[in-house]
Amino acid sequence: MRKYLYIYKATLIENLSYIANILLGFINFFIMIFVFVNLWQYIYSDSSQIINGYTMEQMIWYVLTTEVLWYGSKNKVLLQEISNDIKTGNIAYNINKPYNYVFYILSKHLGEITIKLILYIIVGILIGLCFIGPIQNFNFINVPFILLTLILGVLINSILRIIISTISFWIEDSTPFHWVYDKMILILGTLFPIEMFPDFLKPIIKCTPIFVVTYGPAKLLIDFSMQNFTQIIIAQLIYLVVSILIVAFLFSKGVKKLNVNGG
Amino acid sequence: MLMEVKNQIKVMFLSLKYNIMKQMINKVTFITNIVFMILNNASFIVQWIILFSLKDNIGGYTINQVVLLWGLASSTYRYISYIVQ
Repeated sequence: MRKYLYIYKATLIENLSYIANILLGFINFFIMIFVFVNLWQYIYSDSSQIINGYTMEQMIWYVLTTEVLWYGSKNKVLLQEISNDIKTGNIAYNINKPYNYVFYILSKHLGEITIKLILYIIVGILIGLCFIGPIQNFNFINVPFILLTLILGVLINSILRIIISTISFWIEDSTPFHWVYDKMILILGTLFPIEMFPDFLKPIIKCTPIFVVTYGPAKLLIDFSMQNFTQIIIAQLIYLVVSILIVAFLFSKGVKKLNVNGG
Repeated sequence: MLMEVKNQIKVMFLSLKYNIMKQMINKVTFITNIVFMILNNASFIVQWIILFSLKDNIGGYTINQVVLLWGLASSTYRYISYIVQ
């Protein structure tokens, strides 16, 4: 465990030297938030209107939170590094090193996104406070619960992305699968809460990663209840265990295939 | 002058041809790329369907106009990115 912590710390320190890169990424974030703030303000012609149980302030805070999660946890390590390692054959060297490759990638990825995510959270809160004002009925006592679901959400998202990247063992390029996953999270998970979807889709979406990765933490932030928290945390723990089992299975299968092909 | 333009166009088409051939080396990957790219671009329709279910028109645009605009913009973007790559 200590070596992974060391990898995490080393990547984190390395990333501190590239803060300017992260700051440049905010331009995209600002544009996206600006568009959606205006769009929701236009749709809520009356600011006291409630659409599917959400006030305008809640809706904008929801979009802001999910966008922070989406932008803050996006990173090239999971999108390209695993795929490239498999394509170029580097994976054959990496799996012989004295660490578990999946844990190595996960530690590196978490090291890369920690600073980014913290900065996005700070900027997101500032934008929210400036454009919309504070969240109604927000209680600081709930922050540890929200943070826990947020951390688990980021972790599950990372493991799911590793699962997608391992597809490269069978199909040369896993990028198209990342596109579809990205769009699923972006469109179904960040722009609208589950309540906005037709009734027949709601139970289906609740079973997808959207519920545990973006909807859960955002919903708790804007409308916290212990019942919601329990429901989300149970779903997250189930997702975490299942995704770890899948990644372990796929990776061992992939490595065997690699050995058969001669590395 | 005209000869130079002709040569440049020839080079452009050759480059396009070889890029497509390069992409087609692995057919499974090539087809997966196309199918998933279509899915990727089409997924935005969901966003507009939900938004237009809340309001009949947004800034004077109806859903048909927005979907047409979206389709044109995303296809143009992809064609250009393939040619440039």
